[in-house]
Amino acid sequence: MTSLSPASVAGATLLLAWGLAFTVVCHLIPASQGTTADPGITALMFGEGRQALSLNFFNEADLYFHKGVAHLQPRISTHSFFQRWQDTLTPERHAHAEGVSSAEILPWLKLATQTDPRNVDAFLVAAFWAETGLRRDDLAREILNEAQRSNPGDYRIPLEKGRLFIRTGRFTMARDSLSSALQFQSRQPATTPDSQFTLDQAEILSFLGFLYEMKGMRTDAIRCFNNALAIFPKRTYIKERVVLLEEGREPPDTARSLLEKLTRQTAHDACHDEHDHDE
Amino acid sequence: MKRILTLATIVWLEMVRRKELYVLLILLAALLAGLLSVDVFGLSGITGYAKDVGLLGVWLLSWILAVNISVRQLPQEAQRGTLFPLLAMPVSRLTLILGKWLGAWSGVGFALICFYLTLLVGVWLKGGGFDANTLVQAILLHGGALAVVCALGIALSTRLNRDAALVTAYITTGSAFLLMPRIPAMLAGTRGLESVSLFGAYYLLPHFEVFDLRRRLIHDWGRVGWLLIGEILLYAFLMTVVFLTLAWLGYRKRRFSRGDVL
Repeated sequence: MTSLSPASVAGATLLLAWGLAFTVVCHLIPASQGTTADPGITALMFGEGRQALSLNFFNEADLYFHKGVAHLQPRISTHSFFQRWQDTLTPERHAHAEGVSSAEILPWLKLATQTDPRNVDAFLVAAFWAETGLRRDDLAREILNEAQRSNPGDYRIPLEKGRLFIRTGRFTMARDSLSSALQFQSRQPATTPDSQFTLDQAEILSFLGFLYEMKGMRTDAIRCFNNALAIFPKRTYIKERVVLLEEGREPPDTARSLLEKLTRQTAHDACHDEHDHDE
Repeated sequence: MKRILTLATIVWLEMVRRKELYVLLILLAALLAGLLSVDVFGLSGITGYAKDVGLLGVWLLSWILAVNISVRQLPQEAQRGTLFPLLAMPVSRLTLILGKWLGAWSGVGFALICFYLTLLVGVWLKGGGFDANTLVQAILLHGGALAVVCALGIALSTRLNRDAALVTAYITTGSAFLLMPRIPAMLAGTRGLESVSLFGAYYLLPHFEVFDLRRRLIHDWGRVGWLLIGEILLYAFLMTVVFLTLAWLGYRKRRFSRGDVL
């Protein structure tokens, strides 16, 4: 029997390792392609720069929402005629696009989502405008479906769908969407303790609580409300509601009216929230 | 005056011969056709984005044309050797500069009107339009800005060769357009030498942003007072005079010899 040289052994091991790696990669690539968005031609053209481009289109949409008036920036007064002319040419006022004119925002959001399909915020804002500005909840749902295809694991999309279904009175679908959102959240850890993630978690749990209550599933409702209270213990209206539900009494405000109140958000509210955050 | 007009006509003839205007018009039409074919979630009657990108296209193309035409006039005459019979006519150097500037500016101005007409047709096909008064004001101010760009291009070409003048003109006008409106905000966080240099740039470089009425046009803010338009056009006139004077100062004593240029 001839003994193998160390070089042959090393060569055979390398070949085997390469074969194994090749097999694993062959299995992994189709699997990962199924769960991530195809970035398309923009990714080929701009690479990671497409995120900046997408953000630029998103900001342009914000400019259109404010009817072309940019956000105020701290500046010094130069007392020059250039500044006086500029101030007259581009007045600083707070105005919002409303109704049909809000449709002008959508092309920029469409460009933002096409440039970077992972820009979930752009999808959410587009869906919001389609529903509140144009009163087209079919279009909003279409946009959210497209968002989900590009970002299958993002909890914000089923959350927004849940809000949309509540506003349009499809409560069973809302419950399913919000349950999916909660499930997605459990797979996606929060980045910081006070992040939007936690706020959203409490919101999902509260919505689910009200939806279960409407369906007469008090135990599930109480469980959801208690989970929401575990995140924000100072929410007294939920605390009082849990007590009433546990005692088998009817709360004064119906779950439906509270859901409607909580999900009714206009463009002006969104803008005020944004300014509050800025401040 | 007759000589100035003759020189301007030569610039026009050259522009027609080079077919730059047609190429740029085709580019603009292609851009508009692309914009018109964009499907925005199946919605109709949305024209804001087409106006926005179209106006940006008009500004960019007119800027490219103005810089290219203005910076090549004088170096080209010197390079071809046609400068010598021209100066021997006799045509004074000031007349030469004014004729070249007038030809470049009026040629670019004509192109500008063609660009705006193409844009109007494009926006109209999409079902939109512009406020007529604001559009007239926007074109007037745009024309004023191009007068300054042409004068700057000619001034730079008196002391630099064509390529150097082209690059310098692009950098100067481009950075003036982008930087000037941001300087008051930048000054809010600066002190000392940085602040002084920013102030210097603010008062020395041309302010092209005051000629830009795109936002008023797109968002239908309506026209501005004609007095303000007059003031801004007067500023354009003064800046043009400054740059043409600099051009004349840089050119009047410049020596040419056939050996250098041929």
